Amino acid sequence: MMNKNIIFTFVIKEFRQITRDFSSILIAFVLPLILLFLFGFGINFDTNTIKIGIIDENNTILSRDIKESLNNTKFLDCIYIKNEIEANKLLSGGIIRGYAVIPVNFTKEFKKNSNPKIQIITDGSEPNTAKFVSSYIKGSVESYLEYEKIKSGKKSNSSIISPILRIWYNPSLKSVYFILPGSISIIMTLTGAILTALVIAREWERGTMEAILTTEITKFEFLISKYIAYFILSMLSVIFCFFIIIAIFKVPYIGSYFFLFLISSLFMLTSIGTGLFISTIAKDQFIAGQMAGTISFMPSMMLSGLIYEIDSMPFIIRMISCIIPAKYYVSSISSLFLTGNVYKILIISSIYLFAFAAVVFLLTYFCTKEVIE
Amino acid sequence: MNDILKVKNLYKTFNGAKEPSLFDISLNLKKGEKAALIGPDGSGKTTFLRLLSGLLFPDNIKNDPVLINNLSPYKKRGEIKKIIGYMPQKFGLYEDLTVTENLEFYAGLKNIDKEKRASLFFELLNFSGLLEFKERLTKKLSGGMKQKLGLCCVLLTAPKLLLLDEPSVGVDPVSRKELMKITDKLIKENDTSVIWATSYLDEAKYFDKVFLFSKGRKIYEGTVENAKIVMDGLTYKIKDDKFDKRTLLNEIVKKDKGLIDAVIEGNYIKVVYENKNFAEKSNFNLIKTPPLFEDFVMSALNSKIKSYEEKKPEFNIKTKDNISIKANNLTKIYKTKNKEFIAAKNIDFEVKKGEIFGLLGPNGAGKSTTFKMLCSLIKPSFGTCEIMGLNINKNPVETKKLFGYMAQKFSLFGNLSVKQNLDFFSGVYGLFGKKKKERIEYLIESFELKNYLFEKTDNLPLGFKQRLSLSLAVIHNPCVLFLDEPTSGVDPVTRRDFWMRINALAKNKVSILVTTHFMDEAQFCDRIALVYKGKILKKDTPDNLKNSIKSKSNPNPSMEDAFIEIIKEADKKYDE
Repeated sequence: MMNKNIIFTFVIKEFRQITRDFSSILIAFVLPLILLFLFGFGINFDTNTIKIGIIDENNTILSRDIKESLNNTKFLDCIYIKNEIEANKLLSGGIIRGYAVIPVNFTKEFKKNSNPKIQIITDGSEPNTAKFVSSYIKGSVESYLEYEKIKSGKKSNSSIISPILRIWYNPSLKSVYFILPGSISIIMTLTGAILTALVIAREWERGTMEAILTTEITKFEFLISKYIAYFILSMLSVIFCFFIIIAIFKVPYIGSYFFLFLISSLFMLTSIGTGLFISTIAKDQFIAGQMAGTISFMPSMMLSGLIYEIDSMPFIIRMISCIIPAKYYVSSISSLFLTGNVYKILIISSIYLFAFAAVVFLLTYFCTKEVIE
Repeated sequence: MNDILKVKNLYKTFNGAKEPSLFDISLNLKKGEKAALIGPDGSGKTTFLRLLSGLLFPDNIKNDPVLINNLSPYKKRGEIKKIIGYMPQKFGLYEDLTVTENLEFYAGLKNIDKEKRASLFFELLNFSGLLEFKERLTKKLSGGMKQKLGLCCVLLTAPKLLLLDEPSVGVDPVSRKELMKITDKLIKENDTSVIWATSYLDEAKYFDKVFLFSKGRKIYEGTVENAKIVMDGLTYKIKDDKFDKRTLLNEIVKKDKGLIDAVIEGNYIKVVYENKNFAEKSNFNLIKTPPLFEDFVMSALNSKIKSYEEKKPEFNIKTKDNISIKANNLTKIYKTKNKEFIAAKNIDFEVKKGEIFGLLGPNGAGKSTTFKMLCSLIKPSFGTCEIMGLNINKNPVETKKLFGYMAQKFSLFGNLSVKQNLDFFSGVYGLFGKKKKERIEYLIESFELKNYLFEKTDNLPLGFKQRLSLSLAVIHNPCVLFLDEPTSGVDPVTRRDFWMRINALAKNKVSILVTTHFMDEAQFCDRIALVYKGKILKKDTPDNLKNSIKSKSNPNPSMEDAFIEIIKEADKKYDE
């Protein structure tokens, strides 16, 4: 069924075409580099110090202590503001993200043993930061008041368990450590699917398919040759990406290299398969490129769990995400980087990716026509 | 068995089509025979070749409608692939591989022994004259060289049956002749049979046998000689000094009945009659002339010739010397980083009122560049162009009102109906109200557009699109008409009809500038300029050009012979 010489000839031809076509080199090596830097520096979920303002209308020992305690945390940077007019100016100018007003009767209320009120105003144009600011101020003020109550011998109305937090797997909570390895999945769909989506369509468009079909090559040999050529090219691109991630971004790697290679290869096959499948049914380079973008690139960007958390999606979308190969790859690759070898994840993912690759290959095989019509 | 190819009752219907694209085709080809598959675009040539090579399946596959060397190409595909060589229309070459790499690729796919390859490549490249270009990228080859390389790739396995799909399209006449020589040599050496598809009727004479296709049917199979015998006694020349030739042509077409064809040929009008009866009843003095294969094709395609009357253009701008188009030293240079490419150099000519002037040359010779400079679509690097005495680059708005332009591939709005196209273009040319309505009605009537008026333009037959496109070009009654490859892809009968309309326009003193790569169309022009490698090699009347190369060995040269001779001479000068 297979003639080695024919496959060898075909693969050589593909490589000659790749090396002479600047755009494929661009897609395989330059684009991933740009994407890595974009993901590495552009997408960041880490919290930085946030500037807030405090207006102290009460001006007692208690209110000053609260001010101090807010300022002593490493996430907030407090500045003292005289009045609300000034505070509003700073807020609308984007210099502070929110401010707290300690009212005149604050200490009095506290001593009466009723819950004293403070006003928190935040900048809602950035909802995440606004939420963070309000809950952080609230939390710090509450815990300080609890402490004061206990100190003055009053009965506390809440238990005082202070949790000691330890974050596993990504101890320094750097999102780059998760994002960068995961972003390889996007890069791989790019090199795998978009690059290959064009190649069969191109053979039809330039009339070479017609000539090939009258030679002795079988469609199996034809497809295998395309797989081999683009597998080698894309894996080179993947290795290049890993090198950049580990050497330049200094992301630590603790998993096994064997599994890294296995799972990446399998994912690459699903990606190339999708590309070739699109190419087979499109017969037109432009349409193939568009289809590759929407069918493979977008889902692996949105539904792989890399950028948007899958658990917070509606049920139907969660179900759909289960068929996206990139989801399995992202979870395996981030566990390989951050946790080490989690065999359950790795084996399930490998099996799924293998099955997906096989199905896509068969689909492509049966859709590849040996006649023109 | 002497037949390499036997086709019997072959039918092919495409999915979703109402009628078969090929209808009951039966034909035979002997070993070592060279056959031309002739027919206009859309007649089913490519479909037929694809069916032979197994790239398409026929409707009646069970009856073995095709047998090559007594094997069915659908049942024994592997074996058939070894004995046929198929060159598709685009040659099937990889543009970004070199000449040798393309050969290596196809040699690999065809399982040719590695030891044999080097000598085989040398032989083929030497034979086709590509040896010195073997390391060159295919995209940097000329059309003719690509075609030869395509042929080399097909010849790697020394096929028994060679199928070539329009190898002569887009190739200059010199390369065409060379390619013909290569195939001839091959046939002698290997006893190969060839089917060469073409839409150029004048190529027929080089073949042992001709299959003539029209609308999916085979309408003739036989030799060119036999075809000519059928036409014996039906072809004549007419000369009458009372009329100028264009009026004479019109008179003949109006008065004589049963005319298949009537063409201006130099100072004569050549006519072809349906049968001898009509010839005897002719109102003119007939001089007998030997029939051509083209005459037979016209008759086989059921041609009927008609005359047309056109309205006179409204503009009557007086110019010096009766000249309506004047090109002065037109030059176009394209500059890239390190190279200068001269697309057109020192183009000089004048077109008189009512004259048909042709720019003749192979693809890429600079015709289109010249043409686009003339109608101000590109700006010349040097030189000027005047239309009715107005410099086109200085008065673009006024001059554009004076000329009509029919672009290559017709440039119609495919998803608008014929009527909507007419409405749109008349609006663009500033016609409105009653004037617009009258003009459109006149065009619908004189161009016979009525039957398809509300049909989407995309769905129209090619000849009809051509007619519509011409009607749009003359919508504002221009006194100058630019036609860019107006007849490419259209069948001979429609072409003749088109030229009759052009004649009628010329009779009304409209000046017409036309580009064409059909050598035989040159004779419709009053004068032609031969364009080659960006320069005008010669400009003269068609007859004078032909006579200039008359010799003892070629007493009756064709336009193509003249062209080849003149190019050779130019190349010689260039080398010196």
